[in-house]
Amino acid sequence: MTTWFDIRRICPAAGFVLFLLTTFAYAAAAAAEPKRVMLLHSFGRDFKPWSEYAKSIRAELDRQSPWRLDITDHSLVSARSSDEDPEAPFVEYLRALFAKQPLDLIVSIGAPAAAFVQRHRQRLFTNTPMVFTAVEQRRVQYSTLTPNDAVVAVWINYFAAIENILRVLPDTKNVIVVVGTSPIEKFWKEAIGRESEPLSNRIRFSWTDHLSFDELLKEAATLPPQSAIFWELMIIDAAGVVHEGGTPLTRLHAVANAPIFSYDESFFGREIVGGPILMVADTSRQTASVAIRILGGEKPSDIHMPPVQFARPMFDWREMQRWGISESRLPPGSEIFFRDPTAWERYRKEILAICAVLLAQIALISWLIHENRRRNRAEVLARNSISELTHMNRVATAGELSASIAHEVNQPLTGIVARASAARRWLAAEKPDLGKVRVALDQIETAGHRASEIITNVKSMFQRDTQDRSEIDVSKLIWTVMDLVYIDLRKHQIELKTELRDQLPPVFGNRIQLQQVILNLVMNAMDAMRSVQPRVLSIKTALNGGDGVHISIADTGIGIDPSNLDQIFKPLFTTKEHGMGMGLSICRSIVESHNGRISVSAGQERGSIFQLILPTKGAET
Amino acid sequence: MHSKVEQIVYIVDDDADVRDGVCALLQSVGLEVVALSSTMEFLAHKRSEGASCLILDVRLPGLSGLDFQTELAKARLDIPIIFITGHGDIPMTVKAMKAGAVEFLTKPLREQDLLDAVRVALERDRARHELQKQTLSLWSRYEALSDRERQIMSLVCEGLMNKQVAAEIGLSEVTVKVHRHNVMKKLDARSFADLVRMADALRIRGGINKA
Repeated sequence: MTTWFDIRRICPAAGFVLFLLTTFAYAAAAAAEPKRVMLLHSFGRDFKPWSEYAKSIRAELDRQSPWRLDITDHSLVSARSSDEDPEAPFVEYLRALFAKQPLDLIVSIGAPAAAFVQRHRQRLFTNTPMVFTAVEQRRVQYSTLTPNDAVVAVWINYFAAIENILRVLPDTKNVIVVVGTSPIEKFWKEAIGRESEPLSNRIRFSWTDHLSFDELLKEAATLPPQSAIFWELMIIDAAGVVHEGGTPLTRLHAVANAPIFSYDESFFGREIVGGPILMVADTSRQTASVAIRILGGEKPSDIHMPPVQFARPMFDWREMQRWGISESRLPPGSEIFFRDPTAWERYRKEILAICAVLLAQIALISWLIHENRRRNRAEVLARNSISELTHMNRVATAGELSASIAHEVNQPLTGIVARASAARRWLAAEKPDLGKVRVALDQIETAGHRASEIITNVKSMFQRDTQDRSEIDVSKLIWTVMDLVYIDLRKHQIELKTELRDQLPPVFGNRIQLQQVILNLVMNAMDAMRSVQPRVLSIKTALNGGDGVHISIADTGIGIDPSNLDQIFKPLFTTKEHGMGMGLSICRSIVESHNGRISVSAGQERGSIFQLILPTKGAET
Repeated sequence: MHSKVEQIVYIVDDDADVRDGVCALLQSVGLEVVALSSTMEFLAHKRSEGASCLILDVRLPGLSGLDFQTELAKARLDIPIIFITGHGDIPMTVKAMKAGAVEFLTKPLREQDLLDAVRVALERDRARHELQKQTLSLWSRYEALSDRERQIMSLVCEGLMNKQVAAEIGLSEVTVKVHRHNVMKKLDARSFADLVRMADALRIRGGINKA
C-alpha cells in the first residue's frame, strides 16, 4: 500500500458530517429563538389584586417553560373609565409594536384586558393564541371566543364570602362594601348586591361608590357597632382619584373601627380578617400550564379549565385577636396565619439553651453531690480503716511494750505493798512507831496515785481511738509518751535529750493518734540504735513560722538507706525482720489527716531525723 | 570471834518507790538496810564484815541484775542474791537460780516470801562466814606442821596403817606414832575421823602433796 487512505471513501463521509452540522446549527438557532409572550394588564401593573396575579404568572411561566420566553408587559388605561376613546391610540401602538415581531401568546389579566383583546382581536391579533386569566367567569364573553382563545376563570362566591362574616361575627348588622366607580367596580357592586340578597334580612348593606376615598376613611373610622367592611375593589373613587397597589386597603385598615373582610389572597396578609380565599397561586399555576400547552402547539379552544374557586379558609390571627374572633367560630379546615409566635416559638433557641444550661447545671450539681457523698463515704471508710490499722499498730506496740508497762505499774505497787507490810509491823510492835506508819501511809498514797497515773496514760494510749479532736500541747503529749518508753530507754542505755518548748500554741487534733505517731517514731528510733553506740535520742519541739509546730525526733542509729528514703512512708514497706510495714504509713496517714507533713532525712553524723509539722489551731482552715 | 551478830541487807533498785518500800519493810522487822539505786553504788559501798545479802532488781539501767550476778561471781565477791523483778520469766529465773541466787521474787513482793528469802540468804551468808572462819583457822594450824608431820598426816588420812607409813618413809613405827600424835595435837583434832575431815577441808587427802 502506497497511500494511507482512500480519498474516494472519505469524500461521502465528510459530506454527511457537514450535513449533520448544518442541521444541528439550524436546530440550535430555532431553539435559541425565544417564545414571545405579552402580559396585558387591565389597569396598570400595580393594581391589586391583578398585579399579584401578573407577578405570580410570570414566575410560573418561567418555572414551567421548556423554552426561553420573552415576556413583555402592557397595560390598558381605558379600563379606568367607561369611555372607549382612549383605546384607539393604544391599539395603534400595539399594532405597530408587534407588526414585525408577531407574538406567540397573549395572556390577558383581568376582565377589562380580556374584553379589550376580544374587542380588537380581528384588527390586532388575528391568529395569536390568547389566554384570558384572572377573570371572573361572569365577565367572560364566551360567545365571542375564537378557537385561539383559552380561559382560566375564577369564580367568586360572594354569598359564601359575606356569609363568612356572619359566621365569624354573628352579631354583624352592617356591612359596608368598598367599591369604587369604575365600570368593573359598578359591575361587581351589582353582582354583590344581587348575590347577597338572601342575607339582607340579617345585614344592612351600604356602598362606598358615592364617597371619595377620604370621605370613606372618615366614615370607616366612625362606623356603628356591629359593622363590618367588605373590601371589593377601590380603583377609582367618587372624586375620580385612581388608587393603585395595596395602599388604599392599608389606609382604610389604619383608621377603620370595624373588621375588614375580603376574599383574594393578594389582600391577605395584614388588613383583612380572612375567610374563604381565592389563591393567586392556583390561578397562576393553571394559567401558566395552559400557556405552556398552547405554546407547545395545542389548540387553545380544546383546553377547558374549570373556574378556580375559593380555596380553604384562611384567617389572620392578629385580626382575629383584635376583633375577638375565637378559633372555634372559624369554619372547619381553616388555616390561621400570622399567629403571634408563642414564647416557645419566639424564644425556642433561648429556651432550649437555658434548659440545656439548667440541665447541665443539675447534672453537674448532682454529680458534685454524688462525688461529695462518695468522697465522704470514702473518707469515713479511710478514716475507719486508718482507725483500724492504727488500732492494730497500737495493739502491736502495746504488746511490745507490755513488759515495760507491767514493770512500770508494778514499781509503785511493789512500793505500796512493801510499805503496807512495814506499817502493819510497826503498828504491831510493842511500842507502835506511829511516825513511821504515817510516813509509810503518805508514801503509799503517793505511789498509788503514781500507779493510777501510769494506768491512765497507758489506757489512753492504747484504747481504740475516737474521732474526737481537742487542743493539744505537743510538748506535754511527748512527755506522756516518753514516760511510757522511759524504761526501755534505760534498758537500752539510750540517752534522751529533749528540747521541748513550753507554751507552744495548741494543735487541734486527736490525742491518741498523735501519741501514736510519736510512740512509733520513738520505738523506731530505739530499734535503729540497738546495735550502735552511742545511743542518743533527741526530741525537739519548736514553732514553725506563725502557724505550726515543728517536732523533730533524731536518733544516732543505723540510719536509712538513701534509696529507701522515698519509700519509707509507703504501706507494707519495712526493713525490720518482723515488721508489718505499717508504722510509718500510719504515721503519715495520721499526720496528713491533721493537715500536717512528715519527712525524714539523714542525721548530721549518723542516724535519721524525722520531722513533723502540724498546723496550730489558729492556722487551721 | 565477835559475839554480836552483824547483818545487813543491801537493796539495789533504781525505782525509789520500790527501794524505799522494801527498805521500810525490812526495817520494820529490825533489819539493817542499805538502799542503793545502782550496782555502781553497791560496788562503791564498803561491805560489812557480818552476814549480808543483796536484793537486786533484774532490770537495771546499764548492766542487768543477772549480768551483775555473773560479774560478782567472777570477782569472787560472794553475797547471796535475792532477785526481784516486775516481769520475770522462767529462763531468767533458771539462769539466776543456777548461778546461785537465793530466790527469784516477782513484784509486787509478798511480805513473807521476801522475809523468808532474806532470812535464808542471811543464814547462808552467816554459814559461809563461819565456814570461811574455820577453814582459815585450820589453815593457820596446818601451817604450824612440819614437813614430816604433813607427810605422815597425808598418808595416814589416805588410810595407811602406822607400820605401812613407817615402811613407806623408812622410819620406825614408834617415830611415826610420835609424829602422828603431834599432828593430832597441833591441828586440835579430837579423833582420827576429825583429822580426815580436816584433810578434806584442806583438800590434801590424796591430793596436793601426794604428787
